[in-house]
Amino acid sequence: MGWVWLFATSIAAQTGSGPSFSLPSKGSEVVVRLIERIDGIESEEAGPTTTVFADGRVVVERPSYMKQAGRHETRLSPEDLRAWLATLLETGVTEFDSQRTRGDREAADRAHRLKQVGRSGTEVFDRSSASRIDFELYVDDFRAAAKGPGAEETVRKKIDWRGLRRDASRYSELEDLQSLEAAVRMTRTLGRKSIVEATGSAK
Amino acid sequence: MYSILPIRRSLLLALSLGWFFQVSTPSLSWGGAFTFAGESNGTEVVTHPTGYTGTGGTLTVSVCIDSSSPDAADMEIPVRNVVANWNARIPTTGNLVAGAASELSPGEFDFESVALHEVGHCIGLAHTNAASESGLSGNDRNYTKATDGADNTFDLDAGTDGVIGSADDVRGDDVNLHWFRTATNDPFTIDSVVDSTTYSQDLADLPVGDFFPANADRSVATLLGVPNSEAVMQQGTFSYESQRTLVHDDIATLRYAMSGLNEVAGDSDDYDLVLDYIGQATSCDIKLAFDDAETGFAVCSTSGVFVNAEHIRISSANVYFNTGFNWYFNSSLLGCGDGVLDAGEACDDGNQIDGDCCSSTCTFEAVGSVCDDGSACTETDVCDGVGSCTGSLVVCDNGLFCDGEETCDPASGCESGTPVGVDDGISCTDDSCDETLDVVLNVANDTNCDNGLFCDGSEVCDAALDCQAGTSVAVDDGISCTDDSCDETLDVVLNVANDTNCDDFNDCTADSCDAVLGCAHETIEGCEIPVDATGPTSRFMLYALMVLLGTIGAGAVVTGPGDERG
Repeated sequence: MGWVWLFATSIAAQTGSGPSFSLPSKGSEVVVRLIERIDGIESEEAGPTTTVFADGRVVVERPSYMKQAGRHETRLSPEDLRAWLATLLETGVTEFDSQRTRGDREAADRAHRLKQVGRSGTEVFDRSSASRIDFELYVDDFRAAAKGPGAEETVRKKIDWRGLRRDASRYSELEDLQSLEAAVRMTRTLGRKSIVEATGSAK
Repeated sequence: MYSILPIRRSLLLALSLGWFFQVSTPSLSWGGAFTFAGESNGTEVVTHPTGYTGTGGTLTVSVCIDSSSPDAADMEIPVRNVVANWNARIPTTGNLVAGAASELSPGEFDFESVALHEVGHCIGLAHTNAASESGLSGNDRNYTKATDGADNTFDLDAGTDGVIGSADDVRGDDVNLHWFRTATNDPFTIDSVVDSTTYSQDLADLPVGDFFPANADRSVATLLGVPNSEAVMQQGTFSYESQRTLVHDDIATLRYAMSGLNEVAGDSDDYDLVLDYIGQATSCDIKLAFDDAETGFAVCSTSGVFVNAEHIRISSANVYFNTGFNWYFNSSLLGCGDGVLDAGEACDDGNQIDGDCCSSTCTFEAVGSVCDDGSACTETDVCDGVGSCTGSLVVCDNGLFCDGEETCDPASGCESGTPVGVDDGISCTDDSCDETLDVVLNVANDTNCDNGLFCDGSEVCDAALDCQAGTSVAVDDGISCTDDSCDETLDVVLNVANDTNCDDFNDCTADSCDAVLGCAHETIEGCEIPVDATGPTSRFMLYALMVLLGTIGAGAVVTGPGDERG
């Protein structure tokens, strides 16, 4: 990927009890990217993509079949970017582990079945579509501060999950899923706000 | 184009890259021919709409639009149309309408088409193809719905025709979930009876030569000769295309469920599904709303409970749409006059015209009210009170036999008949049609055979054998001395007395021929025949010889010697 992680400029320090993190020194570096693969649509175009850069740019690219199709770009101030990222990290998404979450999901399914008395009356769930998301996060580990000076770590998180809405709704007890769903929702919201700012229209 | 790698390949790729590349495992318990059918709940599961407990009869499922939803007003007509379609359950082909013909603009998605699909999920139907939940990508998603079998890998081979989802697909140990018609394995046909006697999931029930159930994908449709057709429950929506009517496979799957818990149609646990649109509301059995938090595009979210080991009843169903798309809302209401019988309509004859027994408001017109059944072969048409217009038949018969039987064309009315055939193929019969007796006459007539000659006799007409030759006229009158002949000029037989035929070589007799009596030999008085030359013995011998030779008749008078010959 050719990522060069330079931390010459630490633009954020721990504020209150929030997480500590640093951003890449190059403004062109990606901090967060969300790619949504829309389920049920036949198209060669990629789904909507929201990318947040280290310099605060928020770029939203939407396929031709969506409202506000095309490329939209706005910029967050360094403070706003820092505040937004802090909130994002507070979701706990950096702790997300897909293998562990799959295991937890299967365990929840087993437990659910065990609760049922016989097959008759057993409750089942379904969502007819299960869109896939690719969520990428590239920041310094906010835990670095707790680990002492110079203990910075790079967080490079890339998560691919199908049916996040369904799973977050069905497995409300699984924190990883709630964290991921919250982070994805935040990124979507940021993208929508950016479009509004860029176009002056919410529709 | 984005390519979604199958899950196992994704894992390998992630491991090889050394990333924290986290992927989800597709749950194979979702979807199938019926919602919930799969490895977890059972491949044989049949799913029923909300409210079905195993008791037959009308099953009414309420449908509403969330009154707090964005675009709630725009959803109204499409949702009513969706309800009408699922209630009417009319199988169609050519249900894909693309481009300008679709009413849509480029980049738009047809809300009604997507809602038709999602409501199908909400009444228990799953994708007919493998779809995205399989974890497959691209066209591989169009393989027929199945689980990946014991080897935990989908076996995908499009067969010799190269068409994914067709009957010659080779699927290894994949476990079929698609209910197919055993008689044809053609998803664009439907049996008159839909239940376990006519449909099956068991590959052993496929027609000979088929390897896997065909699904109603558009490519399969083209292969089967019904282009521009696709099951509504096939996953994969294109922009700038509408799909507002059901195909056979959609209806067959629903009707299979409607055959009840015993999966046999025609008995007490069968139900008749009626979706009842109740308008905008906060609660109903199937609620539709725009909610971006619930879906990236469109989804039906359902929960269900097992009724027994193989049957599940939906217990809640909600359809959500995402506002971020260019939705096209159909503004033409299906309903009275659209030819589809909706809830609340007694009839729907495809128009809003009074006087045709189904009124402009889709109620039956009264018994005896005047109507026109459109047929020129009926008259005094009246309604029967249940939607039909009937009249008494026009009499076209003119009472004549020989001009044939008159017929009636519904468009043009009475038409002349074809005159009866009288020609029997026999040339000598006089052919005619007797209007009095209503029979054809073929009367033999000898004059039709006359060749104009007298001497060869009279030709006769045989009604079966045609003209027969006559017998030549007899000329022999039995008198030896007459000359017998037939005169063709005078049309007579001639028997002319000829004395020379009576010469007895006796000079002493006068020989003559009488036409009645024959030869006469009158002795000439005083005539003597010289003795030396004509001695009695010699003359007698001559006479006898002549008699023997027939030169003279017996009894002829032989004159004596010296007769003179005149």
